[in-house]
Formats: sequence, structure tokens, C-alpha cells
Amino acid sequence: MMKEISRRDFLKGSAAGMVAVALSGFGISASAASGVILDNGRYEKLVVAISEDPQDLEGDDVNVGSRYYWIYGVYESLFDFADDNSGELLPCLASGYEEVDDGATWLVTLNSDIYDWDGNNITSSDVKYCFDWIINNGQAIRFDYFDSIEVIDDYTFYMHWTETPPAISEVEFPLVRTLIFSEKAYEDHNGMTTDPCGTGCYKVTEFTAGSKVVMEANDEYWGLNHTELSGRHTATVQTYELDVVSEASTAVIGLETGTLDVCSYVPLSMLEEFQTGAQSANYKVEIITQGDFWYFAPNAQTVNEDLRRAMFYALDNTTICTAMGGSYTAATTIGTEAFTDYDESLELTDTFVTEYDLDKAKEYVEASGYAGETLTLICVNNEAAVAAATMMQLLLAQAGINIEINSVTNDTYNTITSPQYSDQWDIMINTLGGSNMVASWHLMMDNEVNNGLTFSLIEDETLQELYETATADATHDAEHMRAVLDYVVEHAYFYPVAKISSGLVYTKDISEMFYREGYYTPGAASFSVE
Amino acid sequence: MIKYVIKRILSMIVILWCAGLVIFTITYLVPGDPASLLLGKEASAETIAQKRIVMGLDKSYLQQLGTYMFNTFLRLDFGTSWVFSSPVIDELLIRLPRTLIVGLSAMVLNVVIGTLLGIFAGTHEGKWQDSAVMIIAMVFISAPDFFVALLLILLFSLKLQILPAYGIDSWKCYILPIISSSLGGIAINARQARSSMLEVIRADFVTTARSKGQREGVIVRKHMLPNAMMPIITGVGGGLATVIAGSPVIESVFSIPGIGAYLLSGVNQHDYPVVRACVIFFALFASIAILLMDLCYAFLDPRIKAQYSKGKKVG
Repeated sequence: MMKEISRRDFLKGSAAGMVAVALSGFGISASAASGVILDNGRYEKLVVAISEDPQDLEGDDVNVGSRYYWIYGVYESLFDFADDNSGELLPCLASGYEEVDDGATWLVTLNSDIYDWDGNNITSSDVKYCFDWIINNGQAIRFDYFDSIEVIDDYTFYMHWTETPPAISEVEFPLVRTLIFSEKAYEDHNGMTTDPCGTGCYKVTEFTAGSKVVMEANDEYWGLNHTELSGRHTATVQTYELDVVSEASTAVIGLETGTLDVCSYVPLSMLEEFQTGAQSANYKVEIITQGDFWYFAPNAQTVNEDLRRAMFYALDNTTICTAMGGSYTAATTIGTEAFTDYDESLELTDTFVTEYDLDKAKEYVEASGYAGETLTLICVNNEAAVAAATMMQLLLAQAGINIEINSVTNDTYNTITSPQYSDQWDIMINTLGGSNMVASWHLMMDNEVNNGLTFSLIEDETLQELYETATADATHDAEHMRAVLDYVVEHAYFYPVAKISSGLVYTKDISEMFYREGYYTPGAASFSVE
Repeated sequence: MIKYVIKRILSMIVILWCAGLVIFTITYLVPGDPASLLLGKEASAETIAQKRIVMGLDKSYLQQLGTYMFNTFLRLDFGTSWVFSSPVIDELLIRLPRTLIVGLSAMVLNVVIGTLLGIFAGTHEGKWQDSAVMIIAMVFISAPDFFVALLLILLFSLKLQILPAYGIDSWKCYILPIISSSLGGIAINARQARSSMLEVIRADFVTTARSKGQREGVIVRKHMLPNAMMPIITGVGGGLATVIAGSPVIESVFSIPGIGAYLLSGVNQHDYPVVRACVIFFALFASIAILLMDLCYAFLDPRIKAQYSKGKKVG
């Protein structure tokens, strides 16, 4: 006899059935790489986590957000730096240049076979258009030496400098960071904000602001037969997807569930799972140190040398980095090993940079004549800076130096640290970076920054001379850089605090990660699938 | 009633105009130069000056205000984002559905589940069911959104692997954000509904209904609930007005490019066209939500409806 089902039993059964159906249909569809190498030799699909929104796809500011992960694959510049971090200038859209007029003008030759995705041929007029566009847009950052472009014919033009550039690093923005596109494409693509058209080896096929950029390898790329180009112009992935995942913990789960293949901002504290844990079978791990570093600079107009030295002996970088969070390691020189011109001989061991000595700090405090007045430390109001400033305040208090913290927005920081407000701060902390170590010293040491003063208001002709020598191409070497560092230590001008380090975790299908100017570039990596 | 609605719509225009004036003035008075913030510390004075011209910051306050008010209210042009380089209105309209999916779904869950739980707890006052609901409600009121979100990601994405941890690719991506957003609201609504139920549970009309021999379900549905709904609707109306603002925390944890994330980015980067447009948008949405709330009062309470009909409004 059939058992009668009560209404309650029926509801229970229905609910259980619905849950079962839902669960069976919910399985996450793995959007990440399937581990397949296609017939054309490219890896089928790679999904990379990026922590910052690319914002838009215009070819202007290459440094905004996480643009460097995609922008050089989409747009190209006149020249590149060599992949081996030597700082050597390589041809890209321009096949070469000749110096005329003692180097104050360059005669640049463009490759004649450059076509963008729409088939527009790139000519000298387009180059001029892009330089004018970036200047008129107010985006011409570090264009101090750039004067103008004079078109000679379709594929040659003069690049006029205001004076002969003393070093390639001084003109890297016009040469290597200014992206070139066709004027016609710019108009056809409505400013290319969301619908770009570049000349690069990847084409953007999908863009959702704040969410993702999807690119496909460009089969008609003009540079396919140009062996002189840097290795980053080789698209080794067919579908290259960048997913915006702002939270590192969410990205780690994305790696663990297989929806992401690459993430460069895994906190050091979360790396164990990928290094020795269950995920070590699927991923490789590298600790990457960025080219940016944190520094501490007393105001040279208000803090005397003894007091500066006292501060430096009282600071302990390891403690400060611990306070800053899991992505920072103690700096040991004014720069990091990620810079192209870094050399081990530039390490500042056996100086106050690596030596924490409270007794010495107190001795120098006494010698300085410091009477306990409160000094103002200015920093930008982000989490890491405030944590660093707070720990510095505690460490300096141990040496009897009283600090008050003024954390402000970026633009207020830039305003207050100008010479006319020199009485409003005594110490600054901030980050610096650049294409190489001497370029990162620009604000710190170049007295042209503030009409005869450096960013921390140093007025020192010897420092300026040493800095200019170290930055000039002919004398840009470890010996001259070391001379600068020794002088800085001798006068206790700056104190490097922290290097920014994080875990780069990537699928084992990448046999060799590709690095461009120290930045990992998965779209040009080598793949090997078993 | 229609006259009242028309009057309210006209007053909304004045409110929006005032909101525009106030937010423009506030952002104008904020210290710091958006151009130098945008370009960074390496930019030269000439480049910053050029950028200020491009951004229209070289003009006087009145010139800037006039242009802004004219473009916003007469041409419905909210300007172009200084950071995203795209028209603000386009970006708002792209992001709005994502924010609404999360916000409105969470609100529906808040109202339905929260109210039912509140009624359940209220009608079981002092019993273990009441205590259990209130303890759970207390836990979810106390737990921050992002903490609940991370726990849910750990459970459903990492352990069970049945829901994505981030993104907007499919409807599944929205499930965890909706649940994370709604748990706190469900708890608040449950407590509100319980306390409203307790206020009416011993009212004379309920006693009368019981003495007439009506079933308990009918008493709850027909007599208690409509009278207990007023404070609940007030809470829902307020919540609805904030739905449009999105939740920057939830949008950040689940990487949803919604309006909350857009506004946050605008504030952080001094992208004033974005901030101003978002504020106008929020003011519009809040005005509509409050109007709907007032109409719901009238629908539920005949006394209020009668006063509207006479041309009066209950304050």
C-alpha cells in the first residue's frame, strides 16, 4: 500500500531536490587556462589578476593603475629598453636615429611597414599628432628636454630637444613611454577610451571598466618578421585576460580554485600554500621586488646633520617593515635590486642604513643641540605610510626625538613639500621609482627640482655634481653611483626604509616568465604543457 | 493624490538643483589641486598648468559653476571623468544595473526574510524560537560585511567550489555579494519587525479579533501585520535610498565594478565630475525612494490617504 505523503514531507522533499539540482548545476566553470598549446604555438588562454582598475584604454599615461600589464601589448613607442635590463635603447616603431646639431636634434627613421589593427599605416605625421596630443592633454610628464617634432616625410622626422639630452634616462618618456597611434584611428575609435586601436601584438576584444580586459593575439602584427624588436612584442598567448581583483585574499582564492593563472600581489604571509602546500603542484612562486622604494628624508633647511644622523641610527627598518604589512622588506640601499643599474657594490652595509644603534642616536641628538621640540613628519595618508610613520615616531621617541605625524593627500603633500612651505615639515617619507636607480634619485638629488634645491630642500653643489656625473650616459656606472651614495651617507641626507616585495604566483604551464624592464610580462612568457 | 505627487516631483527638481550647487561648491573648496594629483610629483609646472586648462580649472568659481549647472541641468551632460576619460553618465549607466542587482536583491531578501523572521520571533515571544532568531540577528548585526563576505567566499568558493569568488561574468557571481549584503539587513529588519509585532500583539483590536474566534494566522496577516508595517516601511525606504550608492566594501571584495566603487575611486582621486554626478544621482534616487515610501504609507494607512486627499500631508 502506498504511503501517504504529508504536506510537510512534500515540502521537505521539494526543498532537498531544489538544493540538489542547484548544487549540481553550480559547479564553477573554470575560466582560466585549460593547459593547451594551440597549433600556432600559442598558449590557449591565460587569466592574470590585476589589483588596480586600468580605468580606460587610452594610450596616454602608461604609469596609471595597472596599465603596464597590457598597454605595451596594445600600443607601441618609438623605442624600447632592452629586455636584459642593460638600459640599452632598442628600435621599435622607429628603426633608428642619428644625432645632428651636436645631439640637440635627432633624425629619426620610422619603420615603413607599421600598420595598426584597422590597417592604417603609421607615418611621421601620426608621431607628431601623438606628441602634440599628449602635450595638449597636459600629460607630457618628464618632457623637459623635448621641444618639437618636425616632419620631413612619411617615415623620417626631426626630434628637436631644448638642449642636448645628457642621458637617455632624461628623455625616456618621449622615447619609450610615449605611445604612438594613428590619428585616423583615434577619430574612428572615438578617442579610444574603451575601443582602442593600436599597433601592438595583442588586440583588445573586450573591456569592462573595473572588471576585465580581454586581448587576443594579433595575427597580422606588423612586427612578426622584425627580429630586432624586444621579446615583449611576441604574443605567446592566444587569449590573454586581465581580471581586476582588488583584494589579495580574493585573488588567492581565485588561484586556489583555478579561475586565475597568475597573480603578482600574493602577500608574503600567504605564499606557503603555493611554495610547499597542496598548491605547489600547480603553481610556481617567485618573490618579486619592485623598483619602487620608501625613503625617509629630513628637511635639510631645518634639521641639522647631527640630528639627521641621530634619526637614522634610531630607525630600524626591519621593525618598520613589519609594521607596514606583509609586502615590505628592509631596504639596504637607496634603490632596489629590481633596477637595471643595480649592483651589489651599491649596498650600504655597515652604515646607519643597516645598523640600529640607540646609544649612537642619543650621542648625535646631544651633539645636535636638539632641545626636545616637536618635529613634523609629513606623509601621504595611505595605510602603509601611516603605519611606517607611527613606528618611526615610536623609534625616534626612544632616542628622545619628538615627532608629530601629518598625513595628507597626495596633492597636499606635493604642495607642502615645495620650498615656500619649508617651515611646515621637518621630515618627509614617501616612495620613489624610475626606469633605473639613478632615475629614481631625480627628486632626491637633482637641485633643478625646486629652483636650486632638491625635493628635501638640500642645497649642495657637490651632491649635484656627483649626481649629474652618475646620471650622464658616459659615467653611469657602479663606481660613480657609489660615490653619490657615499656622499649621501657622509652627510646623512637620506635614509632608505623599505622595498616593496610580494609573491608572484603563476601556473606551472609557464616554463619561463618574461620580464620587461623588471616587470613580469605573462603575455610574452614561454609555455610548456606536459 | 495626483496633485500631491506632481507637487513632490516639482520639489524634487529644486532639491536636485540645490544638491548640484552644494556639491559643486564643496568640491571646489576642497584643498589641493586635482591636476597635480592626477599627474603626480614628476610633472612640471607647465604640464600641470596645461592640465588645469584642459580640466577647466583655470576659470573662476562662478564661470565653472555656471558651466556646470548649465551642462548638468539643461543639457543633462555630467561631464567626462578626469581619470577614466569617459563620459560620466555612460559609466554610471553601465554600472547602475550591477549595483541595483546586488542592492535591490539584497533589499528584497532583507524585507521578506527579515520581516518573516521578525513575525516568527514576535509571535513566539519569550520562547526558544524567539531567542534563537534574536541571537542569530545579533551575530549578523555585529559581523562586518567584509568579514561575512570572506567567510562566504571561503565556504562556497574555496571549500565547496560551487560559486565564483569574484567577477560579473554570470548570474552566479552575484549570489555571494547579495547574500553578504543582505545578512546584516535581514537581522536589522527581523529585530524591527519583532518589536513592531510586539507593539500590536496586545492591542485592543487584536484581542477583539481573537475573541471573535479568528484563526491566529488570519489575525497576524490581516490585523497585526498592516499595523506593524509602518516602521518597517520607514526602514525599507531609507535602505532603498542608499541602495543606489552601492557598497564599496562588497564591490571591492567581490570585484564588482558598481557605482560604489566608482564613487570611491572618484573621491580618492579627486575626480570631481564623477563625485558630482554620483551625488546628483543619489539625490534623485533618494527623492524617488522617499516619495514611494510616502505613497506606501497612504496605501497601508487609510487615515493618511484621507489626509492626502484633503491636500494635507502628515509630517
